[in-house]
Amino acid sequence: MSTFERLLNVCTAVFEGEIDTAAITETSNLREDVNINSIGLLYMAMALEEEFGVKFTNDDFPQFVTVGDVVRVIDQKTGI
Amino acid sequence: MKKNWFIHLFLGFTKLTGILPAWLLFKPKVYVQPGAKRRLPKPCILVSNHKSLLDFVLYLVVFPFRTVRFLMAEVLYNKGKLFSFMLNSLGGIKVERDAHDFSFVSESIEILDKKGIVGIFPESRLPINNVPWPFTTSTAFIATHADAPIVPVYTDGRYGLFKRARVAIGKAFTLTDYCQEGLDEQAQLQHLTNVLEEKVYALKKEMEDAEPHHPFFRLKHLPMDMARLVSSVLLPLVRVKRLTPDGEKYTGKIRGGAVIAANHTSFFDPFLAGITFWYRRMHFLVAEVVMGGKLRSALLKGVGAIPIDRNGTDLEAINRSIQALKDGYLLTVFPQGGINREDDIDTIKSGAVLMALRAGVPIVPIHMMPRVRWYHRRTVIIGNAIDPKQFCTKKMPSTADIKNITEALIAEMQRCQSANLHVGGAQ
Repeated sequence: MSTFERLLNVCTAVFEGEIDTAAITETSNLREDVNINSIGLLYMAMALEEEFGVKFTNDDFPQFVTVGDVVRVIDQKTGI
Repeated sequence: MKKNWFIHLFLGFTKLTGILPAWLLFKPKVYVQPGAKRRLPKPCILVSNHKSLLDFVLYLVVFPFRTVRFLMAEVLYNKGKLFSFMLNSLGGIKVERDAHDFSFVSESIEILDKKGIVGIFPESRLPINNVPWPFTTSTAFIATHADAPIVPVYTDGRYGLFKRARVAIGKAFTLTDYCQEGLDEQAQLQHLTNVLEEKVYALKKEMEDAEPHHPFFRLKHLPMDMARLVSSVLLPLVRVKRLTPDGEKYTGKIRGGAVIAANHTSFFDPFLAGITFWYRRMHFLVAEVVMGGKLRSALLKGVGAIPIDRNGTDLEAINRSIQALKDGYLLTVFPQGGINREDDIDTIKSGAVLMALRAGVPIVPIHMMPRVRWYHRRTVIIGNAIDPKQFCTKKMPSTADIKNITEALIAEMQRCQSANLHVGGAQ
């Protein structure tokens, strides 16, 4: 399973029924297209830390603009 | 049989003269299992693990109003006539561990029949390399023959001037309730002994889960402890009145990690929260802008402040807070997000809920009455703790769960607020 697919699974569990994960692509903007607010982003980051066994820093957050950005940061941290 | 009046007299004198130095040595922190009683019932058998020769002295401090007759090994009686006399006078029951002398059994049963209390360390010997010995079957034998309830007690053996002993007292139970059918007498005794061992060591786990161990003294805790000391002095000066939402005096104690969700109407609120829970080490979330220069920042961090960037997503501060909660500290959060002089609790931020959920700790909503006149007492209403896990249906909680918990928190905070307004109006 790719990082993107695993990320979608986490989003489905975290934002249960609130966002349409089928419409999410790697270019989707987290705030505008996916409608994730700051606390949602924080919670998603925590869930992703648990799922991928990585640690995000405050410097990673400004990079999280699109879903693809999150995938890229996770891949960097996991060394894929 | 030793004279009971003499034992009571000698023990009473020993406790009266020795309780202060003994308390300074142990500083026991007692965890009472839910449903258990702090005071030993009469008659009963106190069953404890054995960590040190001082265990016996510890229980004199923990149960000062009870005469517990302890089973004591023959080696202690072989340390001279004076020591032997002292042990006898303190109510010791001599046990010849390697001889076939079972007089201690009949003596123990006789004491229990007269509604006395017998203390037993069934491990019989001190642990080697911190590995405890298995329980011996004599305790089960005495318990089944005297039909007295058993009170399991656990001590962690941390005795010393800069250490603090932790003691867990369990619920009293009757050992015969655990008898298994179809076992011969020897197997039954072994089974009951295993039950005893499990009960005592289950207390250890329960105590550690409820209250993670914090060293009594650590240099990094010094500013925080000094602040607590000052808070304990300020308590009568600020005249904090701790009440429940029903208007009764708050007598509960928060154990283990917990998020304190408080309203925020002035800069004094973090101090007031600290004074309210002065008996616990506490961290509190502080907006980064408040931290100011290096000196103020160092001072605030010393007393437990965790700076957080309110404008962004400060994951590092959140993770630090979650770790503090997991380590068993209190964390005061002002979910209104800043000073709100109107004391409006209709909407709050979900960060407190998120942290409690991730750390697996309860949220305790409190409401601190804004001060109207300098001479007014400060009333603090401490609401019912909210367990976030009760709101989650799945392993990974969803944002909908967070919303539900936040709504429950708002409702409880508002209940505390209206209770406080009622009390405040009466001032």
